[in-house]
Amino acid sequence: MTPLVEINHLVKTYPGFQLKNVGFSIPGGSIVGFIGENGSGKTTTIKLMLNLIHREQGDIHILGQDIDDAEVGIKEEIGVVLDDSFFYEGLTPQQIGRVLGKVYKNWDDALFASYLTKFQLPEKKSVKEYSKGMRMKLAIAAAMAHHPKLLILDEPTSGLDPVVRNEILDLFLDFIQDEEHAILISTHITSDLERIADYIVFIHHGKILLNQSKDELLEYYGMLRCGLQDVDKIDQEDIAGVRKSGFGYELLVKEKSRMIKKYPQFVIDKVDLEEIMVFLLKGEK
Amino acid sequence: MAGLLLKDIYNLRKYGKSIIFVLFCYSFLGFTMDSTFIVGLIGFFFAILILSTFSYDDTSKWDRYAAAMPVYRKQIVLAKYLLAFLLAVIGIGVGFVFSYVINFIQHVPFDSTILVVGYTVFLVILFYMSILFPLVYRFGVEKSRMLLMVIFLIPFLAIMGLSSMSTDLPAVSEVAIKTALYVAPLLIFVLYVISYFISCRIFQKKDL
Repeated sequence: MTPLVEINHLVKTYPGFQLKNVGFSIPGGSIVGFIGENGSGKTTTIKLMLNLIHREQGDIHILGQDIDDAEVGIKEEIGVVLDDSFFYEGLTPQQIGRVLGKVYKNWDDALFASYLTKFQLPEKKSVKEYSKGMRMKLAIAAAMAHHPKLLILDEPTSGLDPVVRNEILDLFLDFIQDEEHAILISTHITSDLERIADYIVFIHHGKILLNQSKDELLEYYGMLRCGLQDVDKIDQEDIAGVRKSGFGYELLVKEKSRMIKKYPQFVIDKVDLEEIMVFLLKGEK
Repeated sequence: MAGLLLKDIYNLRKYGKSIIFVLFCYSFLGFTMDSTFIVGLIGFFFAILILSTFSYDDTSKWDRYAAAMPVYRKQIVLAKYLLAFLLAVIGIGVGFVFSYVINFIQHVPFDSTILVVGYTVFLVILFYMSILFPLVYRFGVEKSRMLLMVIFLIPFLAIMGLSSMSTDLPAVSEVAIKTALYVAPLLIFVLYVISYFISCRIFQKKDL
């Protein structure tokens, strides 16, 4: 089966920043988590995918079509949540629904209304009076009410409390039960991705550092803890990242199962995405 | 397309009360001066509202969101040109109604020059919009607002310059004025369309 999204060799240059050869794919029925520090190129990549900014190189295929050939048709099938870009805050959800109803062919008023009820968003109150979390929920409702096949979400869970975040993550998991659906989600909240993502794409300084299934990734890396004097016993080539504390070292090691056999005298723990991210970037320095 | 227009109408409707308040103030002016004046005043007032819609779009980064929707960029631009046209029509229309009511109250008989005034104001508005829009798409609304002030000044300065050079303005024959009134709409329409294509070009190339 061809992936829902396939992007290759994307290049975009800004003064002081370049997106270099970015490429990845999103298989149907999956959630791809897009991680990286601020300014690493996540939003730039998302903007390129939507043709909001012009790329210097590369190609973008979404739902089997080249974005340059069928941009508007493709966008009928995409729902987006963009970082702080939405309707003017003077409008009400009801008005927003009416506008979007005229924009999207498949807009579903009833579905939109059901999301508003589910998220407890008053229909006739202007967005100005909404909290940050409510605005985010509204943006998500607006992105999903035209039965899209692909969701492109730039930090959709930031500003939400854990309860609501979980509710929304469940909604996303529900969404990808359909094999023709997929989600690209960029976020700093890596624990969200641990819950829902199938693949992780890690971008750093405009380059893809990791592009792997989440389970493999969490299985591949391990955290080895040792005392200050023991660190010399570990081969340099096994170490992907280091953190030194007063009591000893924490070492991010590759190929966890092999390491457990190789260094039976040390404790090697599981790692989470955040640790992988932080240690890999530290190890680089 | 319809959705894009509707969005701006909702944005402006939010300020309905302020708009009515301003109209109310203007109508007082209408009583104290020539009631043809109010047609131009209200006409321009409505036309300038288009700038507010650009400002709202700016603050909410609307263009980026709109471009992510299934619409062509040229439709986003076209919606603005249509809205500006509509606002000018509405403005002149409301201006006519106000001046009619004021005249009625003051028992002033209907004077057909008001139609010529409305017509001229309408064309002047479209002329200004033709120049303004590409500037807005190129430089953003805030800078363009300043540029617009400068553009507004040019004809005034030109007329003042002319009148200071000679005590009389150069005499213009009635035929010339009539011809100008007939030809002007065609020219302005062509200018408006050219302006639209220029704005489209600028907006297509823009990184949003």
